[in-house]
Amino acid sequence: MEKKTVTITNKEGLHARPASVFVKEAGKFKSKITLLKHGGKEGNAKSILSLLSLGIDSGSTVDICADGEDEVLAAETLCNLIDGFNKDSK
Amino acid sequence: MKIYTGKPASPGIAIGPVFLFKSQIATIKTYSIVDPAAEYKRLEDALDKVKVDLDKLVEKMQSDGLLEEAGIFQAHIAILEDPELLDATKTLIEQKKVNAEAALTEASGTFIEMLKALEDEYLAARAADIADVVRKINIELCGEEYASSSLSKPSIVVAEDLMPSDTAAFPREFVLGLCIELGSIISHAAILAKAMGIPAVIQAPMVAHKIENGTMLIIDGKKGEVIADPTPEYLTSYRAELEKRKQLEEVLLTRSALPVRTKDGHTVQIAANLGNATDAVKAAAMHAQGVGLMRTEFLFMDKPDLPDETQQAATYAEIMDIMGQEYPLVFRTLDVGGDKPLQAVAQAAEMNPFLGVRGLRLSLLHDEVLFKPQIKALLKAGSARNLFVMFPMVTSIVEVRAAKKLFRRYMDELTLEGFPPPAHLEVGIMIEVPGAAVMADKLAPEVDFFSIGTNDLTQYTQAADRNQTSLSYISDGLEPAVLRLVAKVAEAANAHGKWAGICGELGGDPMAIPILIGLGLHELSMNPNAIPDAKEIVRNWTMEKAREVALKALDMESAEQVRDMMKAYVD
Repeated sequence: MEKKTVTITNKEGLHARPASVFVKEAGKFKSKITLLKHGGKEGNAKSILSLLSLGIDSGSTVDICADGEDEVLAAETLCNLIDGFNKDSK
Repeated sequence: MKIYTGKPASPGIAIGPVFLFKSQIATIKTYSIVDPAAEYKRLEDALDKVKVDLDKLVEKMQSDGLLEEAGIFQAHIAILEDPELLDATKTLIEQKKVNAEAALTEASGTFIEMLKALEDEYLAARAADIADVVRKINIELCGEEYASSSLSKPSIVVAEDLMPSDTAAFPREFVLGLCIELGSIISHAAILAKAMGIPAVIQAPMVAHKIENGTMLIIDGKKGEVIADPTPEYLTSYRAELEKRKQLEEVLLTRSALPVRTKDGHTVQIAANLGNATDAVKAAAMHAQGVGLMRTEFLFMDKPDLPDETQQAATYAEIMDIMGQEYPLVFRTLDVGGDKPLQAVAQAAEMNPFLGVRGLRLSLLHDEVLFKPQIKALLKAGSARNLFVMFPMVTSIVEVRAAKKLFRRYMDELTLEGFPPPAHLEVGIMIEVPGAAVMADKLAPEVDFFSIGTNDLTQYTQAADRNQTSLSYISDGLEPAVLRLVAKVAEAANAHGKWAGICGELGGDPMAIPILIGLGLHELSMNPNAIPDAKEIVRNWTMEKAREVALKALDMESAEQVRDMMKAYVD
């Protein structure tokens, strides 16, 4: 299993539009991918409803955990994607 | 007269009769079923249908230039395809032996409650998006028609609440304003109203319950005021205010019609990128100075047969009529490839379609059915008129010479058929391959103009697929690597007395415009909606200052640095 930790600084958090991009990207991988919000719940990274209900607001830190044959690439890509969101909102 | 005070959601004044609107909600009956598999099938069919509608809506908004807002409905698609929601619904169908509508409503209810319970106000507001998607699926499952509203004359829409898809579905020309009893500023309905320039007031207490259909209404989207049955005095003063704003808008549009020069008198042409004949009407309304990119794919895509010469010529002539002869109207020959194949021309599957047989390469390979009819149609439509044609995806001078040779042959054929050649003819190429940019000085003598396609040029220069969001950190058109190529192309054009323009997204980017004119480009072609702003930007710069920032940008390390520099000049 591959785990990456990242903090969301994007001012609106992981809201609907970024979440839909994130889910779409996650769906490209075969691995099972979960998002664990520090101090909160865990959710399926391929489900937008699951992601939204984690309530990932600005300042949240999450673990991206991927488990499967493409786990390393999955965790790396999704981590970069969140970095991209953070940069966009600067 | 009665005044209701709500919250301002989108600025502007609207005066008109009330159209009371109620969101269509299917009446859900719960009943037992025996065959879960049949219920899954019903559910999946309904999902497919709603998906098709949402795809269309996204496409419509994108072609209207509402890119950000189209994202709202892309999120709706993600909700529709959500694996957790689907699993939960199927589990309920299986375990409780209930119908799909009932199961879906229960399953989605759990998610809606979870979101509503969140502290983050923005995320909690997304519950409305789930409800909207579920509502549409249920309408489909119950076999009801999704009634697009019966709004048929200019009115102010008053509703208890509005779903985002309701807002987008109203015929724009009939919506004077929106007045909503509930809603929040961050609801997608409010965001859409703002993007579409519709005045809106939200959280106006009881409006949907107290105001009757047809009542005269004034809404002030800046103050958040709603005035029902206004006195003649109120009506007169608000009408005067509305008139004043209209005049102001006209002044801006008239300014848009004026020539575009930098402060020190250099002329820059601000043109439009168009995808079909309807777009041409919009471009004319925005005072586009011509068309830097007229795509022709719409004639070919999703059609079982290829359009023949006569059909093509009629469409090209229609577009020429709309745009007039005052400015260049540049037609780009067919630009497709293995990633968006033609139904009518068999193309072998390619490992790397973006590096495969596409654009001019494909046209030349299928000269008889693609290049020849298209060139002859363009020459027919442009007979004795001005004609500008360019070829996409050019890499080598060999391709340019081959295309020009055929072009001349077809022109001679048409002369014999009785169609005189164009009164003024220019043949150019798109520069979107780095190799062609580097060789621009050799290509320049062969062509009349260059048009730089920055989207593909960036993707090929940076070796980064533009649809890969995770590579967005290297796929900005303002990367100095891309700008250096643009500079080379502009320089080669100028040295040979030719002109060079931009027809990629960069052309309409407020941060890029000063740099691009500073690099010596003569024409910027963009989405029609971006034109009035782009003209104002050009008018606020001197060529001297633009050259200065362009030189600085060429010497920078990254697009991020370039954007940091340009931030000081924007807004």
